[in-house]
Amino acid sequence: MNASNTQDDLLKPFIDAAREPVQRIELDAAADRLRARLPQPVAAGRTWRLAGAGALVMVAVVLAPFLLGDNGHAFAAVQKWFEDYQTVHVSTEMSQNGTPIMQLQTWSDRSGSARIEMDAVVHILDTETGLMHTLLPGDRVMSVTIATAPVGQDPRAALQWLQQIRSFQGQAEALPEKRIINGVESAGYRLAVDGSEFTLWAETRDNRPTLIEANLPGGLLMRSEMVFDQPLPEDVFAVPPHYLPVQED
Amino acid sequence: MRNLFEVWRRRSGPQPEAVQALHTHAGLIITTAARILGNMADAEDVAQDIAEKMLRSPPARVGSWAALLKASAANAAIDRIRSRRTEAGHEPPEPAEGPEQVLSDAQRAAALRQAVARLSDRDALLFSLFHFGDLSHKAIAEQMNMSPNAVGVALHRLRQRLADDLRLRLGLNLPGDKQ
Repeated sequence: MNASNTQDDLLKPFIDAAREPVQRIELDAAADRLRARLPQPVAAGRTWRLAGAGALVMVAVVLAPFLLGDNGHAFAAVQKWFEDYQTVHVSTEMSQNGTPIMQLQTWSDRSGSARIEMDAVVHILDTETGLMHTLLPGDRVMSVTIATAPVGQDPRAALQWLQQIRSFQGQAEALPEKRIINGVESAGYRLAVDGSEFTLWAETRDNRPTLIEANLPGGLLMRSEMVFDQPLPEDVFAVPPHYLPVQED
Repeated sequence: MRNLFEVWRRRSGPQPEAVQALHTHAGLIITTAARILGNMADAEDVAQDIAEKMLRSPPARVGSWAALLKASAANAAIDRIRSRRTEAGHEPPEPAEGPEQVLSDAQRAAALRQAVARLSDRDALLFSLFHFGDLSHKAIAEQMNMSPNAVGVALHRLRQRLADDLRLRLGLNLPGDKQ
């Protein structure tokens, strides 16, 4: 037996004793207590569901002409905004049971390119290249082909809503009351799609849509303000050149 | 108890990676701290401090969140154990004057923790990351800016030093020594 082994043999019971100071059940309970005091994480699946919700706003905007037809002359003017826009910026707040859980910023142009910002994570859908880029904290970017995005991470999942909305057979209900939004009198239109209730508000002076509110499954509330035809930020659809590519886990 | 959610909300922008990492590795943080400190209450305090720090100033370009959080837990736990002289209820044994004494596991654990606390910051962290944090030589090397080979050599020497320290302080015989 050499000296090194005997030293290790002496030390081993000390190390073993120190490694097991607590029972597993205590450890699990302590970890759960710590997690309960943390902000809730945005899991990948939830991120994409929320991204889908952001895209849903865009879908709702784009599809509004299909949804809201045959509701009179005032509504025809509202439709025109959805048909003719060059750019749109949508600011979305998601909440659940009264607690804010996510803020989304979405920019899009009529080509379909879009930038969706969710907290510190940015998604860019580039229709010219067919790529979806995800900008991650730490100046990293993950890029996938939109057409081959993994199941559950395909932004076109929002198209499920498109199908639901396309199959919508009802009509938008013009709300009797008016609302003052950003200091401007606005008219409201309500529609229900597969258990979700959407309310669209448009300014009465020029029928410009400004706000969509929605009750989504799971107790999620969505409030989206939109601005049409304002210049988009420069390079809004570009990946910053210093970002390093990474592979998906 | 401080509300970590409020800390997070006061920040200019949330950091999903840090939040996710803290949720994923909460158990590892507490395990590492508990092994060094020997009690759960202190380990939870350490974990809370680490979480608050990570949410307030999240690091960029993290190669391994698990390794980083274990290293943070080990550092904080070592600081804390140095701030107290003995562990309540687990006093390190006194040096033996007669025949070799029989130590309980609690006494062994307390004696080792005190011995680790007497090491330099770097040596204490190195030993703790390997034996309490279960990190590989390679992972420790990345955390401590060393080569994996240097980690192995340093650990070997540390084990010898700790064994000598414990043997002399506790009057223990090496295995194989004649009684």
